[in-house]
Amino acid sequence: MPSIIFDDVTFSYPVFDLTGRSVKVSLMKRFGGNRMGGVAYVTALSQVSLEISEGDRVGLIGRNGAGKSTMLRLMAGLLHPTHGKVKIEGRLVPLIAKGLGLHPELSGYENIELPMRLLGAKSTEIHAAKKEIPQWTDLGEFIHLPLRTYSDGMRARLLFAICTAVRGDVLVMDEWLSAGDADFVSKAEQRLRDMVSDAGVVVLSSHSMDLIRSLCNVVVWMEEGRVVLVGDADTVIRAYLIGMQKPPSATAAAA
Amino acid sequence: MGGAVLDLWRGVVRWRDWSKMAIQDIDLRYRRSLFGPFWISASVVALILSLAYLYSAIFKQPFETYLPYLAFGYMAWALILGVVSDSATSALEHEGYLRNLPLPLSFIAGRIALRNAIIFLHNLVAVSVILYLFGHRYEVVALQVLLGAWLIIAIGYCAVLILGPVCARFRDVQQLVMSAMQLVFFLTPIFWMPEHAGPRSVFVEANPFYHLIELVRAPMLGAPADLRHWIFSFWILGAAFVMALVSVSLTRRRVALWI
Repeated sequence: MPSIIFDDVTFSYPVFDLTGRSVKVSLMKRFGGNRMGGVAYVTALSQVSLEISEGDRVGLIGRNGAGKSTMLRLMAGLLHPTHGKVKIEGRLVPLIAKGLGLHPELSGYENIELPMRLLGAKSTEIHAAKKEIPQWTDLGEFIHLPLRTYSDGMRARLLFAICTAVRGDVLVMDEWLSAGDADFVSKAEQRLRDMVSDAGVVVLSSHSMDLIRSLCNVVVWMEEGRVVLVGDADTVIRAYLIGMQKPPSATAAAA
Repeated sequence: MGGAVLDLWRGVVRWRDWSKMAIQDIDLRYRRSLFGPFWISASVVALILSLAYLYSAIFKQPFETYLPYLAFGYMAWALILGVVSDSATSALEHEGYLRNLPLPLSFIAGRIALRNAIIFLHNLVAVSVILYLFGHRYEVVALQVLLGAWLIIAIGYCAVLILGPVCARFRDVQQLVMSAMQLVFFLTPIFWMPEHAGPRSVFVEANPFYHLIELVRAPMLGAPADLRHWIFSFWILGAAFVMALVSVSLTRRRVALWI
């Protein structure tokens, strides 16, 4: 059963200044008695517990820097908690960054395979995608021309089609539904809905309340590395929009 | 340590994916050039021929024997330098991948190792043919070169796992590695021959790069590489593998934070 469990997760990461980046300086400091200079730690997530089970479509909302991306990266196994435990069950598809594995010199068609492989697609899925993507994207002859000749809109369509061609039990998506014309957005939302309904668990972060409302049945509001509120979409979004008018520390303290 | 082994394994099982990446690297390298793959080999051949012509006179060696000596020694060195410099930049070069996809560093090591292996084999074929035209003849033992090259590439695979994280954490290590390699280049018998070192032969025998180069050069010159070269090289591989495991177990959860 696909699921995501966060058990009292805290995550802090090091920030190096220039001297902390140098092996010469670091060694000198170590032998001079001053251990590890030039490093500061920032806490991005503190004591988050959360349980997401099969059938949940979770939307993460919150201001920039609230910890949404950190949370998604922990779920995707890209980061590891400083304290606490993260448990993931099921085949995970991490849609965190756009365009990984694309190469401008290769044609759209040739660019289908590697990005999908990197996301963990199987050969049969790639085979199917190579048939389906040229149609869905409506790129016509452009599908056989190098990617560098594409307009932004064409590129966005191809990229979106590639990312959504991979099926998994657990889908983790950072906000990236953007660009493209109005036509494409409605087409994309349909495809996204199909993909989401195929997956067991979906977590996506977005600043678009409309997108969250249309795709998610659970919403998690985050502020300063903490979960402020979890509940159904309407309740949490309403509270969030009211809370947005206060400074972030006030809402975080109320949590 | 169990986590490190698991991490290595997670990279190995995805061989289809990193092979695709390595093959695409090569494809892209050649795609826009008129002569395709042979253009890059042509530059290697030109370098080897002109250097052999000049240095055979400097070292008072007959051109016919000095040419293959220099050619295959230089090619082995190019392979070693290729994997070492790719290792030093591996984590930083793959910043986007490591930050956004749950890929172990061993995945990247696979890509780098295979990419360098293809380039080496390709140049080897081109240079061997040219040297044949210059009158050099090969023995069956030349096939041993494949085992020698494999050993160097296996060490290179470990080097990615060792140097990648270190060079990401400490940004000055990459320059350090590259300066060290330049020094090693002059200290290793590639242009000159081991017997030229005379009483300073410790520089030759204690130099691991000499032993690695011999694994490639000796068979191509018609004699199997001496047993001591094999023993020394397998020790290097063993040590590199242990260091790679230590490096992976210390850094696998942190590399993404350093880039």
